[in-house]
This record gives sequence, C-alpha cells and structure tokens, in this order.
Amino acid sequence: MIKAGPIALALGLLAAGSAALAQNAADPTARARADFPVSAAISRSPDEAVFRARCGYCHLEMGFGTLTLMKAQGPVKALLANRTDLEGDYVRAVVRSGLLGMPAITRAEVTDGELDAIVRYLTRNNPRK
Amino acid sequence: MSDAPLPPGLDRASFDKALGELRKTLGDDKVLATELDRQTYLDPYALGTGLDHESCGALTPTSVEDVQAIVGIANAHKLPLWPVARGKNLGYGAAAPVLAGTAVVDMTRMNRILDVDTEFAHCTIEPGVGFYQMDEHLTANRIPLWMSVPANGWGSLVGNALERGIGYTPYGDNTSKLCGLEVVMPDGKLVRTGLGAMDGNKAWANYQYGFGTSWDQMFAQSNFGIVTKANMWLMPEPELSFHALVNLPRMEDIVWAMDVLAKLRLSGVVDHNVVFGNYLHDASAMTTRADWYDGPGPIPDDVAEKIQKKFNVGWWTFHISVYGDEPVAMAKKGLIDAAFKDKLATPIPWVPLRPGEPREPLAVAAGKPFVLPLAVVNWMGGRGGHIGFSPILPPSGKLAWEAFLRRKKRFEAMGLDYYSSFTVGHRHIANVNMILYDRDDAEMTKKAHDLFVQMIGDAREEGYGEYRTHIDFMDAVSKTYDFNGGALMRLNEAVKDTLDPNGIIAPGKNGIWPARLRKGRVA
Repeated sequence: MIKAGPIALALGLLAAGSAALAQNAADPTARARADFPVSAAISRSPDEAVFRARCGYCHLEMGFGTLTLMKAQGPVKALLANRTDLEGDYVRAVVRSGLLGMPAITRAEVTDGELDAIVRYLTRNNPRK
Repeated sequence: MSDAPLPPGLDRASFDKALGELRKTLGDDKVLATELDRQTYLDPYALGTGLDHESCGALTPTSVEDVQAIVGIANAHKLPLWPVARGKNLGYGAAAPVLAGTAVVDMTRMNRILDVDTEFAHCTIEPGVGFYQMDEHLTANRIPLWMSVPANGWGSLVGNALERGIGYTPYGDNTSKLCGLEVVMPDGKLVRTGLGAMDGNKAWANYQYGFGTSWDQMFAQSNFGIVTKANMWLMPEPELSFHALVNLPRMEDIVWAMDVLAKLRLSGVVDHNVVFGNYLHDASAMTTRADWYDGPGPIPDDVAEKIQKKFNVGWWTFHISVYGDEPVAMAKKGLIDAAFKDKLATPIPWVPLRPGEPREPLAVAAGKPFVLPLAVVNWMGGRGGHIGFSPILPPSGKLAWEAFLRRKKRFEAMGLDYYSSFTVGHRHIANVNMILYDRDDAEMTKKAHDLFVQMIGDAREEGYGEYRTHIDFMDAVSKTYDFNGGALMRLNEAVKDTLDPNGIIAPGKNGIWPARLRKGRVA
C-alpha cells in the first residue's frame, strides 16, 4: 500500500497550495532529502554536471523517475546517483530505448559523448570486478 | 535490422541520395539516421507500436542557414520534413510525424537565448530553448520575470506556444504571448512577422500585429513554415501572490463550481487557467491503479471514495491563485472568498508567496518547470501511455455536467478509468479527457483508440471540437470542422499548395495534406 511521507509531500507539491504544502513551504525538499540520501562518495565532476543537466528533469530528488523507482525498488535505489549496481550497457540501453513510462532519449538531446559521461557518473561507485 | 521507411515517391536509391546530400551539407553529426535513432523518435506513448509513424531519421540544425539548406535539399528530392522544437509534445505523438518516412527536423540544438529584456519583460529565443534552461537563465541572472510553464516542463517554450499549450499563471494562454516570429518558408526564404518585417524595428517584441495582415497564428498547429526564432512575453514577478487547492466532495459540485469560476474568469478577478480535475488527477500522478484496485473494468465508485479519503481530496479538486501588487492581490483574494463563502465547508486555504521565497513547491502556479505530472503514465502498470481528448466548451456548469456524464459513461462502458479535467480559460472550458493505458496490452490500447474515436463523434454531435490532437487523429478531428463542406480545410489546402508546392513541410499536420499526397489521406 501507499507509504505516507514523500508521496504525500509530492502530492502536496502537485496540488499546489494544500495544507501539506503549507507545512513544508519553508524547505520543500527537506523530507525528500531525508528519504533519498545522496551518497557521500558523490563527486562534483563534469560528468555529474552532464547527468544533472540531461537526466535531472526526472532523476533528481522530486523527479518522476525517482518517485517511480522509489515505488518499484525502495528509497535506497530510487536516486540513480546513489546506485552501485547499474551496468554501463544497461544505462545506454535504457537511455536510447526508454523504459516503461520513460521515453527514449535522442542523440540530439543527449549526444554519444554526453551518454559516455552519464555512464561514467552512474557507474563510478560500482564494485570493481 | 530493418531499413528506414521511405516517404511516398522515393525509392531506396533516391532516398539514399537525399540523405547523402544532407550529410555532405550539414555534416554527419547533424544527420541521425541509424535504426536506433529512428527508434528514439517513435512516439513513446503510441497506441500500438508507433511504427505507422516511424520517421526515416532526424536532422538537427544548429543555425538558420542549416534549416534553409535542409529545406532546399528536401525540395529537390521531395523529402518530407517534420519540424519539432524539442520533440516533447507528449500525448500528441511527441516528435513522431504523421506520415511514415518523414524526416524529423529536430530543433533541440538551436537553443540560444538571444535576448531577455528585463525592463520590458520579453525574450527572443530559438525553438530549442527549454523551460528548465530558461528557468536557470532567469534564476542565475536574478531576472524577476516568470515564464508560463505547462504541466510537462521538459519541452520548449516556442514549441509549446506554437501547439497552443497552456500554463497556469496569468500568462497561461501561451500562444497569445508570441510576439513576432522568424520563419524559414517552404521555399527556403526567411520571413519575419509583425513589426519584425521592418529590418531593425525596435518595437518588434512589443506589439503583435505589425502593419497590415498579421501572420503569427498561421504558423501555429500548421505546416506552412519552420519557425527559427520567436519573441515571447514574460510576466513581471508579482509583489504578492496567493495559491490554494480546493476540494469539492460531490461529483455534482462541478455544476455550481464551473459557473462561479467562469464568472470570476470573465470579470478578471481570476486571471489564470484554473485546473479543475477529478480525483484521478492527483492519484494517478502519485500512485498506480494496482494500489487501489485489481479487478477488471473501471474503478467502482466505492473504491474511488477510498482513494479520495486516503488523499484527503474531493471528487473534484481545483487550483486557484491571485497575482499582483499587494492591494490588488488582497482585493482579489477577498472577492474569491466572498464568491465561495456559502459554497464551501471550510475557508479557502491560501498560501502566500512573495519575491525571494521559494517558488518550487508551487511549481507551475508560480512559473517553475515541473515534469512530475508525467507520472500519470504509470497508472495502468506496464509500459504506460496517455492520450487526451480535449474539446472546447462554453464556460457553463450545465454544459460541463452534461459532457461529464456522457464521457464518464463512455469510459466505463469501454472498461477504462474515467480521468478528466475541466480547465477554465478566460471564456471557455478545455475539457481534457485523459485515457491512460498499458501499451503492451493490445486489447486495452484498442479500447483506448475506439473510445477516442467515439468521443470525437459524440463531441461533433454535441457541437464541440478539439483544440489540439494526437497524430493518429489529426485527419478525423480536422473533418469535424465541416462548415460549408469543409471550407476551412479547402482554404488551408489552397495556402499549402501555393506556399509549399512540393509538399515537404509536415504532410498531414492537423489534417493539412499537400496536393500530391491528398489522395492518401486516411479516411
């Protein structure tokens, strides 16, 4: 069933002006951040910048992709930036083919070079094989 | 491995020759024509595979000269082109063309913000400029101007305005905020509309009509040219705004609520598009159907009540705001409170917003881009999609109620969940009937398709027509505009044949086909 918390908050965000929103207006992302810990190993790199610019619409704290993943795989795996289990080829396939409700991304929007950067970023903390 | 679909009249050799010329002229990196590229330009929410609208690839110009070169080569080879701004027309076909084998002209990389005039509140931008990009620009430069942002903020300001998308601030009739376009015509010539027709005119972005005939709307939802630049008006940040979400418990409440809201809109007390949706509007964005109900057929009313209780929402919810200098905003808020005083059990829960305070929580109501509402596609589970049937109604509670009853019955008879919003414009209601489906469920997508066709017929019978539609239905909807034997379409076709004799720009867009392809029109 539905967990309260982030979902209720996000609903408040959608429903601009709700009581939930009023309570959280000072820092709307505070609750979400608590539920989506950003890995301490995060590096402020050019690769991360590409990820944020190209994937951030949906894959930052309050994004469509993050909330979809939270529901499917739980809060730890919801933020792509935290993942250590994404293979590069899998990332490439999802970006170019789409996945469930996520549209495929064209090479006009994310160039092959940018996709390389995104793959480097999302696999940076993977365990060495 | 499959070959690119060919446009009508081209064989493999002539197509390859056209593509070769494009590569030579533009450079390889601007011609995206691998099988994988074509796949990325399919409609992600198609009713079916989407292959009936598969492009032959995409061209990605970075300059006006590139666009002119593309148009020149397309004319020489009769290669049809489908211009898109950022290709995020989700629910309407996204970047996919009507006619299979058409080349997408993807303007994503023409994304320069050429000017933002902070004193007179307008910008000059290319079609690839996205809402997030503009938001970053305004924020980083501390420019106190607001955009009008649609429910899906992933797309382009210019593209959205040209498709007559809407936003939720007082500037929300987006197409009316275009003030002068630069267009590459089907013969490759560059035209500027409005006052921009005078080279160097200093007031191009300040006055819409220009001298004599005014052409801006000719390039909206049409196929008469490729827009390469536009001026758009931005809203000065208000000194004060108030925002509220209001719940109405009973489905019958739509009757009085539409009448009250319509009056407030007409008088100018409320000066933004009011989104008024049923409970699925919020529930479908945050949860999936399986959270509530796993039985067959549409969600029963008692389960719907459970959803409403869980989210503390009514049968209907609407979002209302006021904007302005402090005395104006306070006075408007007072008038709205008075209009609803005897109708609501509790006072309207207003949330104030002043400059410097975070606008993000209010999202589109405060001009901040947002993509979260796209989550509705998850509702049915699986590979989700959405498509909206959106007729325009007069702003009447009685007429809205009648439309509501008939559409709800149609959804339920088809076994689909009824999801609807009645967006109150200045003098109309845009009634978006949203069909949510699982693309991998062939029976469900067929039902969604059939329901859409049924609603086109129902609405025509009632005397209503859609304001915008999906690429699957452009012919069918254009045929409902049938006065005097379809005289408007004959006019469109006369214009099309004169300006675009080779029929290269967006064949089939909004039902307008060039002469050479008119016979192939879908019945």
